[in-house]
Amino acid sequence: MAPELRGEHTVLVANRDEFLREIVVTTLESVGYRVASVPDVAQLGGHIPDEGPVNCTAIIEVDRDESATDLIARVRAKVPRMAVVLLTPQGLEPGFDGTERVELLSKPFQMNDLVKMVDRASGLERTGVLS
Amino acid sequence: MSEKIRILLVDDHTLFRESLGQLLAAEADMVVVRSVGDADAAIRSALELNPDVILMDIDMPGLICFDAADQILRMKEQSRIIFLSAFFHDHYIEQALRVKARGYLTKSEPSHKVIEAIRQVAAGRVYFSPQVASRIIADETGVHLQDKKTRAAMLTEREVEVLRYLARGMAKKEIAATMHVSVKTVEGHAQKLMDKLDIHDRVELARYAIREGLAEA
Repeated sequence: MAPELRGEHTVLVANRDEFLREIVVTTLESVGYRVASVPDVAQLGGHIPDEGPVNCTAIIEVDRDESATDLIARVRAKVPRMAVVLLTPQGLEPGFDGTERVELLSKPFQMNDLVKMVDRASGLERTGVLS
Repeated sequence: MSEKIRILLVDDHTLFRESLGQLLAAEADMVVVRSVGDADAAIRSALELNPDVILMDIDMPGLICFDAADQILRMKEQSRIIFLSAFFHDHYIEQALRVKARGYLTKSEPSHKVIEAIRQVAAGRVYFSPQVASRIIADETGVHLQDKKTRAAMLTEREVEVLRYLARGMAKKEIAATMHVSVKTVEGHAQKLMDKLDIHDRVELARYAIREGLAEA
């Protein structure tokens, strides 16, 4: 692992379930990421820097009655190419328009899977420095 | 943090409780608001004192600590509970996650880890060791511990029985005599349970059985 490289990257976590949110935060911090968390996507904006380049990945949970496309658009209103990991309910494949830099993670998932997904979304996996 | 972290200590062992209390009292940002010896007293104290963090032993007589935690959290949703145990049993951790405890520590942790856990949990975070955190699985019903419990659940009653005897260091011949079966049957059960658990070393098997509480009964 190369936690120092992850340390250059910020992960923004938006999840209404406080307990799960804090477990995600603790897991990502333990592998080296800087993490900010909020209960709602609408509150993510305050954590996104105004000027790029932005080393940010957002993790957002998609409820059954929500549109993944809308959520991605809201996250990317400030930073158009921000990487996004969508946490989706089991069996739900949210329809979105093939936007780049979006990873899907369906429940149930293990925290290790989430770390791998964030590595991939953040581009760290492609550098080959993470094992 | 300008205000001190107010801690409720719950452990039936007076010596341990007092030692831990002294350790925490030495921290400038912590104060133990009360120490109690059982889960019923923990509920009353939690409601009365509204502590920032409740450090609760798992292995206590009387009301089961997980039920106590459940009651506290139903009445005071913001309560932050860290469980302490002498053991690292999967079913304890599973229960701790079920009641949304903010942390799980074993009593063999160095004191600085306990202090770190209290600070982290008081700040609204959770504290689980990396070994536990990496095995946490999130599904639509909440968070759980994955894998080893499931693997133990795959064992038949006979296989669990053989596992228990093996964990006690009994020879296969001795197990066969105790169970009134042939040595070959015992060997068959042993092979199957090792395959299911993917543990092929007798010492590791014993450790697994002890960790899972299967060696006790």
